[in-house]
Amino acid sequence: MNKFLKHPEPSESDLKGPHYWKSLDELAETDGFKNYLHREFPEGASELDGVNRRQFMKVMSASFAFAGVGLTGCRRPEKYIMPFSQQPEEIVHGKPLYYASAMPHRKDPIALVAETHEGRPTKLEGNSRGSTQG
Amino acid sequence: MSTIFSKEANKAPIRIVIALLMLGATVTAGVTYYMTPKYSRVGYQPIQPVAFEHSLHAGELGIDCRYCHSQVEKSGHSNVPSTSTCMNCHNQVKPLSEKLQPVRDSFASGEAIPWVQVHKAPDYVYFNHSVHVNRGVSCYECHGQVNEMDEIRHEKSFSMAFCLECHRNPEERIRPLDKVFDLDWHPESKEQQLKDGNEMKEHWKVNPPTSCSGCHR
Repeated sequence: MNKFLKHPEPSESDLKGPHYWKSLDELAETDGFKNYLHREFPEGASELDGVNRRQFMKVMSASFAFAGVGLTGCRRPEKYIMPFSQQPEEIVHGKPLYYASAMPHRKDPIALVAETHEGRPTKLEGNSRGSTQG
Repeated sequence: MSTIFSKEANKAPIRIVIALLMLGATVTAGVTYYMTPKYSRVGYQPIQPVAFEHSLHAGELGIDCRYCHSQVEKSGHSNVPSTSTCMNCHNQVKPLSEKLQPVRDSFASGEAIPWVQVHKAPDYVYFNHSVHVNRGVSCYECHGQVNEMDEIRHEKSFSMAFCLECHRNPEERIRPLDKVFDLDWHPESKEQQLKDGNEMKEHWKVNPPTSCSGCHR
């Protein structure tokens, strides 16, 4: 049982829909109104040729993803070696430097040895070669 | 009932597995090649504030390494020379050279010359220059043919495998102490090197650590 419903062919006005004018300028199709229609979207919006939004999103998201994994953070940082301008005597990098010192005490000064690393004192101890030991 | 998937879909699982395996192989190969020090470090040759030519100073003029790197035998840290070391000669040699302006500025002002670091052992590795140099490990073994380089360049990989290669078989590398700073010295033959190397190793009691805590301490 075939049952075909015969619709009447749509008329021209059905396809286009009713056309109402919204301003006298539109009805008259003045140049100013045409220009206004053209400029409804921001400048340049109607000038994109051959590129559509989806394509743009695809390319840009891919390039951002590659920027993320593209080892951007893997550059080796540049470090500097800053040697002395005038080499001071006795200083050997990586070796402690010992100074003989003394601490005042009620009877005698106490002989001390001070250990320094890169100019910073790190340890004080009695000097076993001094007359009085700490 | 109609089929939702075509018969072709039966092959999908095996295809997915093959694709994953290929992806895995590519990633593994890429990482093992591109993410190793051999790729990332070897050939690093930054522009230095002064274009110091090792080939001229150490090669052509034959200045000993220890004239500038004077503390290499005494300390774990091998020093980069102070400006005053440069000026020892350069107050007489080419005293008006434009290339040496940063050196003279540094000498006058007391500010350091910011040399760009090329060779770097990571913070988690202990490395002592003096023990190596004093037991017959030449500069050449780690730094390469420095006396033929224009500006200093990262020559060897400095990876852990690179260190262990020598720590496991020091007899293949160690040389007489008077040849340590002679970068042009090469053993007569492999057999001779092994023979002498074993002798020196025994005599000096060279026993390089191969355990983790030997260097990572």
